[in-house]
Amino acid sequence: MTLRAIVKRVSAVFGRRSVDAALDEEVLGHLDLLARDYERRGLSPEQARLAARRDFGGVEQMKETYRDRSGLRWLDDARRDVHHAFRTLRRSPVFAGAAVLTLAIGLTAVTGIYAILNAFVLRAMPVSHPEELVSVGTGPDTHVQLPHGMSFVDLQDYRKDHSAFVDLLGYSVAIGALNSDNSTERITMYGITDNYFSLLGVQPALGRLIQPNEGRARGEAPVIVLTHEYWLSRFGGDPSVVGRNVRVTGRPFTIIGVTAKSFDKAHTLIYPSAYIPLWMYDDVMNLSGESILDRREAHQLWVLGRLNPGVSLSQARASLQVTTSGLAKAYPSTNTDAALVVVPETHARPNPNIGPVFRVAATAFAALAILLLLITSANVTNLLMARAVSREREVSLRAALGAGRGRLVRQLLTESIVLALFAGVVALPIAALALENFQQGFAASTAIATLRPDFSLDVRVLIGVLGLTLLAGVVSGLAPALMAARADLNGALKSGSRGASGEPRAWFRSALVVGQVALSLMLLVSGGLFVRSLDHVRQVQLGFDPEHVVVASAVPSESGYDPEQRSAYFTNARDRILTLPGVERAAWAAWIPMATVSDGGPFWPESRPPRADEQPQISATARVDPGYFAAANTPILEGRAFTDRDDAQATPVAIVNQTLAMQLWPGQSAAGRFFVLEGARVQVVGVVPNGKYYFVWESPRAMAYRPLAQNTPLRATLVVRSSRPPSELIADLQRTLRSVDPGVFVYDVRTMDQHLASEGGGFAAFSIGATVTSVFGTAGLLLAAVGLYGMMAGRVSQRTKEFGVRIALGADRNAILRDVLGRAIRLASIGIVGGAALAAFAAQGLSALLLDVSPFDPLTYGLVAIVLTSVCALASFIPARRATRVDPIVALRAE
Amino acid sequence: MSPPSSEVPYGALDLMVLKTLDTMGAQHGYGLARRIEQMAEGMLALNQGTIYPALLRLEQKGWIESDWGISENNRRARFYSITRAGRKQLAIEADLWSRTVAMMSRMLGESSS
Repeated sequence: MTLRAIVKRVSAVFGRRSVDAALDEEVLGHLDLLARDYERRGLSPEQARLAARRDFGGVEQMKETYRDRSGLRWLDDARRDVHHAFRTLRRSPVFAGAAVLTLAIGLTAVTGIYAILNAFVLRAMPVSHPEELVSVGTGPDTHVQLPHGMSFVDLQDYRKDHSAFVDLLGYSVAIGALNSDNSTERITMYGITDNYFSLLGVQPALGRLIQPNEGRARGEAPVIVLTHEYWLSRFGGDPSVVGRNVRVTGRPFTIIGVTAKSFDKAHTLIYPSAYIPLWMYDDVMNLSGESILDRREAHQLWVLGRLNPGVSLSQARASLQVTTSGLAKAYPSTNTDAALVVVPETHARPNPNIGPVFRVAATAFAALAILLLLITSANVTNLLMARAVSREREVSLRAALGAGRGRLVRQLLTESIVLALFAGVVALPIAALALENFQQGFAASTAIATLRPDFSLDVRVLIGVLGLTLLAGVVSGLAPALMAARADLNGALKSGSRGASGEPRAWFRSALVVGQVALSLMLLVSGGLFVRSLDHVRQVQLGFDPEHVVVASAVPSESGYDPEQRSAYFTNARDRILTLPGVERAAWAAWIPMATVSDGGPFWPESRPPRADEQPQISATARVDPGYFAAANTPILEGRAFTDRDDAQATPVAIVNQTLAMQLWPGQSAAGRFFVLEGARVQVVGVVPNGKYYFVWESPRAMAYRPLAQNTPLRATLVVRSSRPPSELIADLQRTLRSVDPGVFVYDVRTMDQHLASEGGGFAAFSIGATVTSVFGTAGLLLAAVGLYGMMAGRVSQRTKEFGVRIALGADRNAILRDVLGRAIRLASIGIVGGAALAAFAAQGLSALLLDVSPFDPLTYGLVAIVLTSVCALASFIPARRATRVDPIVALRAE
Repeated sequence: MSPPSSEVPYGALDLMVLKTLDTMGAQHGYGLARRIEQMAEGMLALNQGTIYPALLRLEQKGWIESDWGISENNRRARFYSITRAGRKQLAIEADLWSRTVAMMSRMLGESSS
């Protein structure tokens, strides 16, 4: 068929009415002319009209041929099927509403998960040839804080020899205060290597971007590039910002340009407001003497590489491995254990550290969403089956009138697809709303960096959801359609009752129950395992009692304060807070558990420093006020807490946790002993229990606390224990801290619970996981219960007549009930065994996400099995009891 | 008695329509049907209605085109005319047809002798 014919035919389908009208007009004109001829030959008008009709032949028959020919047969049929589906569904609004709402639940779930997956895994970076980008890291490795980061010095070596790559770039996230026109705002910045923009292929919207060879030496080129969005929000899109001088954490910078608008969407989670050359990073972060740029063990950079055309991932890995091995030989003390990680850029989101876990979680949630969609589809299948019974006569009639089986199936399938499409229309806005909430939850979670994942329903999501919608329509409608079309038309037409298709349908309904039980079990078990994980996480020994604690962070260094000024501010602020009503304890800490910014350093026994080729052990470190342990409710197991006498002039002291004490002095008392921490000889004055420091799911690790007064930090967090309601205290804290020194930036004033819930290393991942799974699980349980009830009840009520006969013949009602219950439990058991096997298989994939819970946790499996069996039993018992109570005569007449 | 009229052979109607339009110029459906009946001199039992699916088929193939005009009874009617592609097709089909006829008559002549 030529293109022209196709176009004509398709347009004929949709212009059906005008095509028909035109033909009618043509035919009428034809008949009129023909009749006139006959009249001219002497026939009466009436005779002439009849003669014309005779000559013309069957008008309707011709029109049918013409219609078939004028459009595309299948398209025309589909159009008619859709019309028919609309008409039938309008006639049974309760059925249609129930089916649409049920499917909408499943589709909302998949849409939401798809959009999240799209943001974190699927969507390509808006740069040229994003598929060539790979994430490169060295790790994981016990000696670094960021296992997938790379040190700047290492990056320089990798860049020297990169046959597989066009080039490699690196960046690090920095937080700073940007001052312009006498107003200061905290912003998130990326410190970037000079080739960052050129390698990604980013264009400026205004001015120019940081160029290769720009700012290659420390302190050179204090220039800053704004993102398009920040340029609009802070500078109102003023084109004269280019060349303007601003101050970033007190240092002069010049704005040189604005990035293209499209590049604003390049970042998955942490959105920067500006970019500065990496060489300015130390200055901006106020790092003196401990530059991240010189230290091979400072794995602070995220690295992206652009592959040369035609180079595969494994070739790139092999090529980089040469450098990795060379570095390990050349720098044994820092690079020995470094393992190379090379993955596509999309696998390293939202950042390379949590990317792998994230992918597992995303896949798991996608699978759960699909399960939920399958369960809703099964429910709709059941609804359709119930309807098929009452529609058997209609279908039989159509078959008797000559509709082929294929046409019947198509027509019935069209109905379920139309239902699914309606459900999609209902689901989209609900999903969009839910995603918006979720997104705002993210944005509100922290002030330290701008977290703003983009969950918008873009074309990719919409196409994917459309596909899944059509699939759901077919999946839920196929079996009922096939069965209805196979029904023996004679039987149905004659008896007017259930027809002759009872047998296969009963078989199918049993299969549906078994399948539904299995699917529900998989969903509920996965949800249950997550909830149990979260329970365990909550009981984890943090080494810090978060109840009744409010925290507030301050950065006096951003106001240009020197150590003495900072120390004065910290003391002053703490003493003022202690006078507030209801405040029991208050203490500063440079770090609190799960804080994004953390410290760590090497330690060794005084008697045995590490050899040159040996890596020292690393301990997490924190500087704290004397009152910290009391404020945190952390018991001192041995020795004493810090006191005000542990100041800069006194002996350097430390309080260590049990793990560190065990490592240095197994089986002995640690108090009073000396060891070397970050190069300094310190005396242990106390031992505290182990806690969780970076991640709530981490294994026990060494921790050493130092007195705040012996090394004043740049920023610190005030820990306040109080009996007052947090909301009151938070407002009071903000007011008081402002009055102590309005020039110091104070942020993240919130309860410790809020802090733990929102920080990446805290409960955030678990609470998101638990939220998603409990929503899915609740929906799943409800749908499973309703669906199973409908399926079982349908099966039982089909047998009402049989029960009537049996009772009339003298059968015992209780025996019948037992029989029905037995069957229900048998079906449920088959489903549970099958589902448990599938769930156990699937849960192994979940094990990476579970905390202290076996993927085969018997309690979860047992509970879910009991719930599902009870639902099945109850769903068959209630209708069975009703059926057996009915007078046999009524039951026999019932149909 | 009139000679026995026969069904229109498959494909012949298309050829008749093309030929008629080629010699007579633009025609409406009735004009075409009447002309074809005249040419057949009663040897053809044509249901005039069947011409419309044929016209649709030819138009979809691009061999004829149509335009609305006013017929002799002052009604709107669709007038069909042959296209350049239609003329080419007519030549091909006419040639094929005459060869088929020649072949058929040779075969029939041989078997009857």
